[in-house]
Amino acid sequence: MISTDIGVWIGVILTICAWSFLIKDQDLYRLAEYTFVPVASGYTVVQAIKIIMSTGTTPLLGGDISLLIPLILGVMLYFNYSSKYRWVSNWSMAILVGVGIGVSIRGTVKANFVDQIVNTMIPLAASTPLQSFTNIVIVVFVVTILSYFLYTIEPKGPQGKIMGWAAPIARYMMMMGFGVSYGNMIANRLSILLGRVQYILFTALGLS
Amino acid sequence: MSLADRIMKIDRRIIYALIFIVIFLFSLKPMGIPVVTQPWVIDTYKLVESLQPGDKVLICWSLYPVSNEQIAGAVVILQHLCMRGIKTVHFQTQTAVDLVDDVMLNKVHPESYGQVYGKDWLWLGYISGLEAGQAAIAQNLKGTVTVDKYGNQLSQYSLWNELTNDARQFKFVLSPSAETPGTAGVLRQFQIPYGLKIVESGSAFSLGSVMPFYASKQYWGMVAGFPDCAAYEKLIGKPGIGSRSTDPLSAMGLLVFGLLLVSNIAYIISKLGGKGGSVK
Amino acid sequence: MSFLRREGPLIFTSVVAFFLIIEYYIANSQLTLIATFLNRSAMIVGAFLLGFGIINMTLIHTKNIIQRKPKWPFSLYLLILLFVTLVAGLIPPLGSNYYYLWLFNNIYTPLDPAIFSLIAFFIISTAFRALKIRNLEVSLMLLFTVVVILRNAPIGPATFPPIGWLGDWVIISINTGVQRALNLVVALGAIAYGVRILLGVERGYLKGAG
Repeated sequence: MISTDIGVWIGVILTICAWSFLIKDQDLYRLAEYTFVPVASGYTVVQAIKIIMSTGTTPLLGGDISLLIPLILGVMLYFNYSSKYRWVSNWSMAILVGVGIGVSIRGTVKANFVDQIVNTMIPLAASTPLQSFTNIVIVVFVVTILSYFLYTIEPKGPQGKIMGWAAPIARYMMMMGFGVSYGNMIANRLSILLGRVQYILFTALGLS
Repeated sequence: MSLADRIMKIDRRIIYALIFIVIFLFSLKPMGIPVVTQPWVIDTYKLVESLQPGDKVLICWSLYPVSNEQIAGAVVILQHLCMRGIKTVHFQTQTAVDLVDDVMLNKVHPESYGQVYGKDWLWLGYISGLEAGQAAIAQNLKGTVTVDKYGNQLSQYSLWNELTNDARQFKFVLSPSAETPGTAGVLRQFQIPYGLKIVESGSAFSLGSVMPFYASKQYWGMVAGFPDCAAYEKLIGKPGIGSRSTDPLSAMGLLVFGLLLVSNIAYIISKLGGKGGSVK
Repeated sequence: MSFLRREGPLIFTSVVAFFLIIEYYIANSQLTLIATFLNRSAMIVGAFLLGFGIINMTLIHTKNIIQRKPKWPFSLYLLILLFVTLVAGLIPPLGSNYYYLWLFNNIYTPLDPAIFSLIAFFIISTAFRALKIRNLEVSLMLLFTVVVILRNAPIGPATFPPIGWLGDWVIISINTGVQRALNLVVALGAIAYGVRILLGVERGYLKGAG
């Protein structure tokens, strides 16, 4: 059954306005864009205010004085708009960057580095020929592509020769990987489009 | 201009029109194409099946409304968790919190499985700070939040009073993720320090980039994209968003393949004809 | 004064980051308490960051209106809608009332994917024009794109199972090798960048340091 909810139809009309960009850049698309941006930004700010109140001001008023520090640091961020006192916001950025680096680096070393190296040390002679071949492919690809990148200074001599020989092969290997990513990306973006089409067909028009 | 050149220089709006026609047509006319159940989907299913009623799972959302595939995957896994009587605690690292309301209340319907809010599932709302927020939840869940998404004191809920500050109380972390920090942050803040299993509800795009982590068992399982979602729906016997999306996806895949084939044949013909054939 | 502007924040960043790294490896309840405070502080300060978007947007579009730049009525429309959204959200119950949710469900939720879905069209038309058998590199990329597209479309494995097996094998082997190598390189870069910040070498995040 066709939807009688005016909100659904506003969403459909705005969706079509957004898609009008495919014909050419025009005011209909601009309407959709200039509708989305303020609503998304306003929505985000309200959520930010909510979390500041629930994790900051409310517990502060409940007796947790220590929360005064992050609240003051948060306000200090807005000194960024003053040309004379912009440096005050550096202290707020310092805690954000410090915590961000601290929490991510400590896990990155094991998760993205050590464990990935350990799991590349797989048996080249596995239980089945296909598994052996798969393992050999993984190891050869990882080692070759790693050799493509320079980490310190460019090596000379025999090492430099080997790396020079491996570089184009590594490039071809990476293109294979990028092809896989591109294929998956096409599927992902199509699924986003599919979601909108299903919204129009099933939610708005009530078809099944 | 030869036919090959005309094909290569075709107005892109014709391609757009073809895309629209195919996607609308095959959304309305399902073909019932079977899907393959991947090993990572089976691993996820088996993990949920191994849990006991009353076990707890943490859901770390990192999504915006654009993330169609991830939402579909999350819905089907959450339905399975509800069917098994598993208790869930949700938080979102992005500001689109009402998305989770929409998923739970309009798509999953936990009440239809006998689940009660506050007793069987809790929704903590938006946790800011991206990975710092995830770290705060991992280290000190009960000290980080005191009210739920609706502004109610968490202490009134029986599930909250069952929870402790030990992240290991959760059997695994489900990560419906499209944005930073997403599952990468969950890996660093929950899996590495506490050894928790991670299941990702991702997209077809993320499948490629997370495969090294699945291969090294840092991710226990995945539902990545509509075909995986449809396979999972078949496993639990609840066809839904995934199942109705695979047919248009198939048609679109064939269309893209056809377009690539045609353009390359035209290119080869143009090259063989000695006309240069280079296209901007 | 220079200490407050530059060296002070750099030292503060390093101390906080070092503390969190050390706390990770030492099980001590006092250290965990301080780490929790730092995480919560970053959460609160991070929430304040979200205000920059609307401030910048308001400044830019107000300037457009005052200077009567082309399409300035759109800027006026934007600011009015922003004001409406903020008012709708701030009416109690905060962030939960009917009008705020209406805007989320009927404007935000449809438009976010609608605008993003334009990429699907551009990606396909770009593939049509650019992915040609020009040289070995592009040919390899094209070949694997096609394999994965046919693998992802369920009709591929259903009608011709080898394409499914090949696609799965490519993702499990070739893709894993490539992505693992790239992950290692990126992780190395991230760790190096983090160490540079810890040591105060990287200062790009400090504005107005003089």
